[in-house]
Amino acid sequence: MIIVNWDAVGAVGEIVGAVAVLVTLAFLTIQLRQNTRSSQNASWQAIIRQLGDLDVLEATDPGLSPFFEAAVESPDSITDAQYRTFAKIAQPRFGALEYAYLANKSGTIDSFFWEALEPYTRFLISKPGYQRFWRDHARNVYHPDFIAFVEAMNPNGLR
Amino acid sequence: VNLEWTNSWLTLASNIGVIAGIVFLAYELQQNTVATQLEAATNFQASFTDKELLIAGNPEFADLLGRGVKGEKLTAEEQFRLNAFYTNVLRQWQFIHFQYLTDAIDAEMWRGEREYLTEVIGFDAGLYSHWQTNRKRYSSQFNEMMESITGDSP
Repeated sequence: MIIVNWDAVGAVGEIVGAVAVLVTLAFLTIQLRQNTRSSQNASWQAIIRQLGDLDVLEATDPGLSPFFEAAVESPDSITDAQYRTFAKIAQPRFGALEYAYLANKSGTIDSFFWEALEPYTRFLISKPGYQRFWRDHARNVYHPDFIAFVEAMNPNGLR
Repeated sequence: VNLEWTNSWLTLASNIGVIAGIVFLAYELQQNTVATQLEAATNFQASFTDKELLIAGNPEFADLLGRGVKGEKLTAEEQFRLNAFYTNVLRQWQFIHFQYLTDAIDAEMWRGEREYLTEVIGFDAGLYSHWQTNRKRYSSQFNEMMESITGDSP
């Protein structure tokens, strides 16, 4: 007759159970990380979509096309009404960049993603039309951290 | 009633229950991750569908885009409009490329997108020229990937 040492069986069972819990927790952590990444991607997709909608509007709207290039390159050559229309595009465009900047700063979007938009921000703020918009409106609209970030790109032309 | 024996079995059962619960949670999270990845991929495809519908429904812009594809000479205003559109197109590819780099989409899915990008850059002279002229608008990782497709030097 075999005598079972239940104490030993119990001890082995506890060890196996502890290992199983550790493995499962590790797996859970990896899944959570991937899930976070997926959520970041979804958030990023929303930013890209907002910027994309503005790009498409700029490219295709017959009311914008005739003056938009002038608004960007030589804003003093357009009418006040045209400038106001341009500002309606510039505001959400910088708004999307502001959101991306702050999300990256707070760690909810990977710096990897922000690096894709920083060159675009630099490009926009190098243009006279966006500089004029910035001088006229930025302080009333954007977060101080984003204002400081953008103005550091072009310290002489924006204040 | 052997209380010690009963207690041991109850402890075992509760431990199994905890492990099963965690495994179920992990499975659900994995399913959620897959669903979110698919949603991101679907959104990416939807953005291209939106562009195709836009082009199909706007003959004037379709004509401009067609002249851009052929690399025809454009006015400054026309080129400006196309640059806005091209920025949008390449930003979408930049996004999906980042998803690949961060393992948010699998390699096979990225391979298909890269093939498509290679094809588009091959026939759309305007898009290719836009990228060559405006590289600084895009990230270094994306530009490196583009250089591997076009053979351009950094």
